[in-house]
Amino acid sequence: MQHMSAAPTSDAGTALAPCSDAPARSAIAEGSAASLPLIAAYFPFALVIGNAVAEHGDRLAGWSGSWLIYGGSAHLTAIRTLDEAGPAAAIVAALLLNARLLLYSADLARAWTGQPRWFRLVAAALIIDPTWAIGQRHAARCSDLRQQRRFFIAAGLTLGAGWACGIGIGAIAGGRVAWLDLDIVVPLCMLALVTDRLQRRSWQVVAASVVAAVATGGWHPAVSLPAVVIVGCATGAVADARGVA
Amino acid sequence: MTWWVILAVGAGSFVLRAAPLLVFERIPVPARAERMIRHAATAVITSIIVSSSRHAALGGADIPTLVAMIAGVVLAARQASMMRIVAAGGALYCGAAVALDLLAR
Repeated sequence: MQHMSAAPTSDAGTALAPCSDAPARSAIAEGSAASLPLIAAYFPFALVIGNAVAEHGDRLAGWSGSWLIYGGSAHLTAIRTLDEAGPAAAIVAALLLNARLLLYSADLARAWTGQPRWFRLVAAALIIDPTWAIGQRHAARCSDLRQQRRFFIAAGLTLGAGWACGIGIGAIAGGRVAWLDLDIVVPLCMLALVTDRLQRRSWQVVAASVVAAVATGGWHPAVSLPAVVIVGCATGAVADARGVA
Repeated sequence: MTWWVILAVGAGSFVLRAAPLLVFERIPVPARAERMIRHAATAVITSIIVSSSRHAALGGADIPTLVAMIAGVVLAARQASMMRIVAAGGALYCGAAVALDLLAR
């Protein structure tokens, strides 16, 4: 088992409780269970992407993106932009949307201090908005590196399996499942995942980001997302300088 | 061509995911940069919540979405579990949608 050089702390500076006493299966089960509501939340989105894959034509290549890209917005953008503007535009647009993964990965790098390189490489393939949030949340309350690995890989693979199934069903069924309206589940799940952040007195960043996201709502996501990030970071920097964040 | 685009986006996305995990393994992140990363990540997730809420509100479901999101924020602030937030928010969303539909008749 690997040990960390110093006891990890949460953002609030409190010492974290190790969770090494828990059996291996419990971390795996916990990770899988954490992904189940997310599968329900993202299933309609997976069906939409599957439908786009079916319309595009090459179903197997389109479906393979569920694991290879492992990100709905970039996947959908790649498929749609490929049809409308060609391969170069599709690649650039999709990667611009996925640029936010740099931030998630940098955030997790901090939480996973002491983790081996093989895990970092494996886990990298499974980082996306919800897995970042649940991985961060788990690492903040469990300092045992092995448990962190089991939890994250189980969560990422479970979500990936559900995601790939959803895209596959959407690709096979085409538009026949369009009646399924579960769009509200996505923001509700994401709300549950950011609870910890709201309690870390970063509410100024959240409030400014909400305003910026509403103001830039009509823009293309590849433009509006960086704009929201700039506003959020600027607000956070001001709050930090005042010592209130 | 689809295969090449999927492979290119997949490879590029993997680099975006793996690079900070490998780089920050050896280079300590300055405290200020850490705070900026945290603020940026919070802004991204907030933006996703707003955009997915707007998407849920399409087709005249703005009031049910608003009701569900207010309930979700209240429950999230009280540290309710994800299942509880989704169940309560989803139920309120359905209830508000049915009520509005009945009122409109």
